[in-house]
Amino acid sequence: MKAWLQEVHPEGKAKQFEGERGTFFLELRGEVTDDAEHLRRGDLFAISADSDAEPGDLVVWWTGSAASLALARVGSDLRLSAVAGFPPPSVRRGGVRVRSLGQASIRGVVVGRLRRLRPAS
Amino acid sequence: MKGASFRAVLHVDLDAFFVAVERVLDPRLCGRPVVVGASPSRRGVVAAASYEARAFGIHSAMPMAQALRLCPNLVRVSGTHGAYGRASRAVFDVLGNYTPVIEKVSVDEAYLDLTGTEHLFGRAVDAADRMRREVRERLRLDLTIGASRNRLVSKVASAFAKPMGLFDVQPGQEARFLAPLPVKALPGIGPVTTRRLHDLNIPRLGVLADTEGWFLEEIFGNYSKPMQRRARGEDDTPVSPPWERHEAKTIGHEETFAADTDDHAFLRAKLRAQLESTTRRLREKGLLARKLTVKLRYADFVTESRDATLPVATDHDIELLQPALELLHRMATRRTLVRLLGVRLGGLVQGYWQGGLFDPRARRSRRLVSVLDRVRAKYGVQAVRAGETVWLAQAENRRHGSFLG
Repeated sequence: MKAWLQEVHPEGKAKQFEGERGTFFLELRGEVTDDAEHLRRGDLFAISADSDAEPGDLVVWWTGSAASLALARVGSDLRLSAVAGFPPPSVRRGGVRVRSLGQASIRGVVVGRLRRLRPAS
Repeated sequence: MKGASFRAVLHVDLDAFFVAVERVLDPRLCGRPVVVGASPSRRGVVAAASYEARAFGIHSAMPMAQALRLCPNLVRVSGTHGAYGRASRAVFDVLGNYTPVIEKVSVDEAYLDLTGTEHLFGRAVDAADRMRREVRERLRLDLTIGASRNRLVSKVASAFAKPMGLFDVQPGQEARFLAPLPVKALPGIGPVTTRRLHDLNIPRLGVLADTEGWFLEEIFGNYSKPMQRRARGEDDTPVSPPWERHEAKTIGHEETFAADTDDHAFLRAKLRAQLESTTRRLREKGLLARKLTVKLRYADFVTESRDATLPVATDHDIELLQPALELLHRMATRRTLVRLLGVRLGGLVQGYWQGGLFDPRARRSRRLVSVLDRVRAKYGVQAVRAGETVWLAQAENRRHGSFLG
């Protein structure tokens, strides 16, 4: 099954991040492609629900189908590139530009990534 | 493009370090609620608690008797001499393979600057990931790591990641990361400032970052600007490895006694113990002292100090003992109880003691000191003590319930 994102509520101090300013966590699940981002299944992303993205930002965007979110990296030309096996944004007239996608499609900016080791057996 | 040529700073913290080391020594402790500390009969306190014990509300500095009441199945272990130091050195040896720029904060905490190591280890976050896997595989200890462009944000991030986590704050997102957090999450904002900020309806760092500067300046004065910069995640404090740190001009040790005293034997023993610990620090740093100061404070807060300049720079407590005792004798003339005693060594120069190369007694004495240092490094500071200070240590252990038991 392809990569997908699911909202989670981590324990501990990380909980402080969730709250009134529209901040939340998403967990990366499914089949994750190992690319230059080196993301892994189980990674938690701290998201600021902000549609104002800049070049270099990792963002979550709405694919347009049901409740489906995907990760993408904003390039220097403001185009979104697919990461970790998520579907690439649909390309129109030489590629989709972040601002031309409209604010509705970008659901948040990744501010951090939490990766936990499993307890040693 | 963000993140291309910025600093890469890690804050590394060993999870429940003392407990983790005890579990390496005795794997039967794994998975059980464990604390390290002295027994309740000796008025011991919790020095470290496992995550299983913390689930019962047990935390560091809690009286052991209270911890045992909260969790009747709690396993208590006394500290193991030397084991923590050895484990810490082994961990830092691994970290040192990734960067020489390490600032050790304590036995279980450090900052690492990985800037410029990308061509060797890839991105800092990937190096951090390898680091903690390597430490686990080789030493069976877990690291928690915060990664970002500066030490302030990395420190906050590592608190997020506990236990066994790696939290990587994306470059350029420092302010967004901090914004939803309570103001007390920022290092440097203590309970008093937190209360004042709450009174001003500033509960979160994002609100603090956006508040008008003039308003904060009215309340907090010069402290307001750095506080606001830090709330935005801005920090350019360097990671300072030992060779870049400003060397102390003096090294000393002073102590306020639990009860005021006029017992001269006690004062002499204290002075000797203070000289032992201070000269050991000198030797660790490869320094010699030319100046000795002894300080005395009486119960009525009258404070006196006397200096002596030594004929030859030394790092040897036995050579300092006689002049220190003479200074003490000259000062302790009032018929008033003493509340504080301290020694300070100044006139520091780099070097190792060479006194009396051709004097067999001095050579023997030098060998003795170096053997004592090695024994103490291996088995702990209290493993070998001057006879005069043994009863002192025992008396203090009884009084304070030393965690080492």
